[in-house]
Amino acid sequence: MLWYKAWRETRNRFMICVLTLIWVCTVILVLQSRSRFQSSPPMDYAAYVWNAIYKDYVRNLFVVLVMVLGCGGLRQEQAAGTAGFTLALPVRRSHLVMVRAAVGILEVVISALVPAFIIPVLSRFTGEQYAVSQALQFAILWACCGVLVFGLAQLLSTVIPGVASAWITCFLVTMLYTAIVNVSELDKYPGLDCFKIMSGARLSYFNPSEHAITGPLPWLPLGVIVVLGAGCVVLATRILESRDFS
Amino acid sequence: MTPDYVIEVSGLTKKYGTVQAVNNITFHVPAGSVTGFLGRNGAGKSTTIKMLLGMISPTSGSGTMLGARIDVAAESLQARRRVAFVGEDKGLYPYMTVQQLIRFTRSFYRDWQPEVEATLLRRYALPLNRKVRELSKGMRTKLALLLALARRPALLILDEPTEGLDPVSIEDLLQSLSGCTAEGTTVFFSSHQLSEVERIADEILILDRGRLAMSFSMDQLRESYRWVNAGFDKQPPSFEFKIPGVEHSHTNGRQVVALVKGDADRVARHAKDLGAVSVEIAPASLREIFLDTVKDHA
Amino acid sequence: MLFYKAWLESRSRFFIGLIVIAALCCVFVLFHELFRSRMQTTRGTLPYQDYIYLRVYGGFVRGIFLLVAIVLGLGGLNAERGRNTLMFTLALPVRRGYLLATRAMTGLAEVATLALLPALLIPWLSAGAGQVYPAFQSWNFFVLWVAIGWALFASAFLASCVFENDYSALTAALIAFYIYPLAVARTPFLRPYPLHIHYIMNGTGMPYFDPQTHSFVGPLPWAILGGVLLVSVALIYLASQLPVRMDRS
Repeated sequence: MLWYKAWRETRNRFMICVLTLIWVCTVILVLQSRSRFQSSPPMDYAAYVWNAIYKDYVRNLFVVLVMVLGCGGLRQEQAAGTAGFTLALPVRRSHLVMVRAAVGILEVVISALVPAFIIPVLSRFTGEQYAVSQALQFAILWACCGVLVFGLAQLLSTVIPGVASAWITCFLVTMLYTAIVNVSELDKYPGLDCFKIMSGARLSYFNPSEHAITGPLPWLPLGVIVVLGAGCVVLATRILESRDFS
Repeated sequence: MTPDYVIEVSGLTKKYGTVQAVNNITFHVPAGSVTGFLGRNGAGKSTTIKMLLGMISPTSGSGTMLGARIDVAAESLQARRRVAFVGEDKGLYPYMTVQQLIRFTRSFYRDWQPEVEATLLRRYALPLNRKVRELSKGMRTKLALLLALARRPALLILDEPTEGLDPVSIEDLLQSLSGCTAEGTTVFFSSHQLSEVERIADEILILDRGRLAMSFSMDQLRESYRWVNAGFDKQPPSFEFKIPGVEHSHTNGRQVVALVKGDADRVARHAKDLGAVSVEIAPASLREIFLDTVKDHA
Repeated sequence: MLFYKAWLESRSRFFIGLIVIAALCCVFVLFHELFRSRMQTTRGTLPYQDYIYLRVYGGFVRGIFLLVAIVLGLGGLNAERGRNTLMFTLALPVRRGYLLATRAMTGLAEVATLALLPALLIPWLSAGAGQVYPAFQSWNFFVLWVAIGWALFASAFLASCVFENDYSALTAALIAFYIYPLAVARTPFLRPYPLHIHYIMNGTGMPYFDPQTHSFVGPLPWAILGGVLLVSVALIYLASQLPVRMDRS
């Protein structure tokens, strides 16, 4: 039943997140012909989808929403006055955090899959084609990086009380990370930039002329990213285990 | 198997920076008893209860609950399976309905008793489909009590359980708590309602400014505790009353009032030897003892 | 003292924003050579004024400022309900409109202060770094930032009064932040009008801004800014008219 609790606590945010992604992807795809030919030079369909969804705009929206999904937990329950009831249940604190994380990560994965379902389906309605395999590969990239963002948000919301403060700190930490990997010597290694991994920009598995993933996905970096995300959750657990809830 | 004492703490201390919330307290709660945990606001009652439940780690000292060490997470978890707790703020998940919260809580306990749940639902008239956030404070308290009582816990810990309840519900609750011990449940509860404590408690612990000020059974209170009120014709020597058997004493003008445990006649004789012109011995009530204890330390 | 309360409730968010915006301005100005060397153009090294625009006024710092403005708009009576302080606040002998007004005014002042930071820091730090950034450019951007920052603050303020918890309010405000520009840019009958808040703020496609030199070439769009201000006031007024959800407690 802890799963149910975690779901109830996050379902509104999750539903809003999914509906928003559906709506945004739909608007972008339905208005594709006008936008593509108004740009100079006119873009082919794959380039349009990549630029509008995977490269920047929708990707950023996804990241921001994942941060919202990652906020919450026992620290926020303490502010709401329900931590006493939760902590008196015969479950370990680590179990509480892990269940919350598992539900959250599942929501992140489902959110990452939204464009993968919407794009191929709507493309047909608009007389275009977008390969399901492409969309699914991007979904995998988004889901793995989403796990890291989610883990970071969860870690920060165990340290910082208040939803807004935890969220803005998570956002700023992410921005700082982006700045570091983009403006220093590290810029030579685009594989260190989680957000470039999500879009494939400047990475070997992505073909910029076709705007498509043509090589094998970077499983090792993705594995490291997921492990880092899990590490954040474990660290959050350790912090909560030693914390007083007075 | 339930040990002789369901709660045993020794030298338990909790410090927040320079503030000592609980200061080196030692006590034990016998199995099968109803123990009232008294103290003024901020005396350290809730902090002690949270330490027992593993929500707060003690700064020093040790304790066990149902034989499990309170500062060892794995043992605390085992103990919590057999403990029911009703918190002071009755904080329950506002986004769940009454029915959902009952179903949620039930899933954690094998000793859940559906028939007790049904009885209490009827008695408390809780609306199953209403969300917790829409319940009044009294209804929320009743729901918290239902979640605690619809099991057969070895230990029931309640922090201010009657707060927010109407008189009829308080009466119901007191009867339920009294009945718990017959089913093998030990009750440990904090309260400011001394008359209620006096009605149902077997054992009393009085905490004052983080220290355990007094510990006695209600039987001892009735049998052994007496007030000795001595009148003098001149300023009385109050320090002369610091003798064995005198728990507290204070001077009020030419009167010395002493709370005596045990032989009150001996203290009365002592007062006469000191020149008292009048000596009265009267039984002590819990309210008087409590007020005298916390006033002494104020 | 209601201002004091509003300040205490929002100051940690404000200080986080203040420190980050100030730190970024310092880093971008003081280490401009390092960053600019990575931003080569066909004309050679990026001019300093263009660099400041791309990093601060048109890009990264601007985005952070807007999100901090949104976060400052959160809180209020609905959030107080979750913390069990609502009854205390509502029992104070003040009108609810006054409670909201003080929170709004505190937040608006905080947003303006954050917008002021680059206006003060960039010209001053630039001089220290041996560069010149015209003060009037900074002040023009300050005006644009304040206007758009207030609008986003007002939208989050409204969201915090509509939604019963911080999560939903934050999510709604963020989604509005992302969707509004998309809706304006992609809706044919809205496109001709200067409704895109990001473009108003960074000057993209606006007659008062030269995209080649990244500098102001005309008077600020006072009519548009007045309209934005009116919308902000309307959003805050609308928020004050919403009933507070009074759960039994």
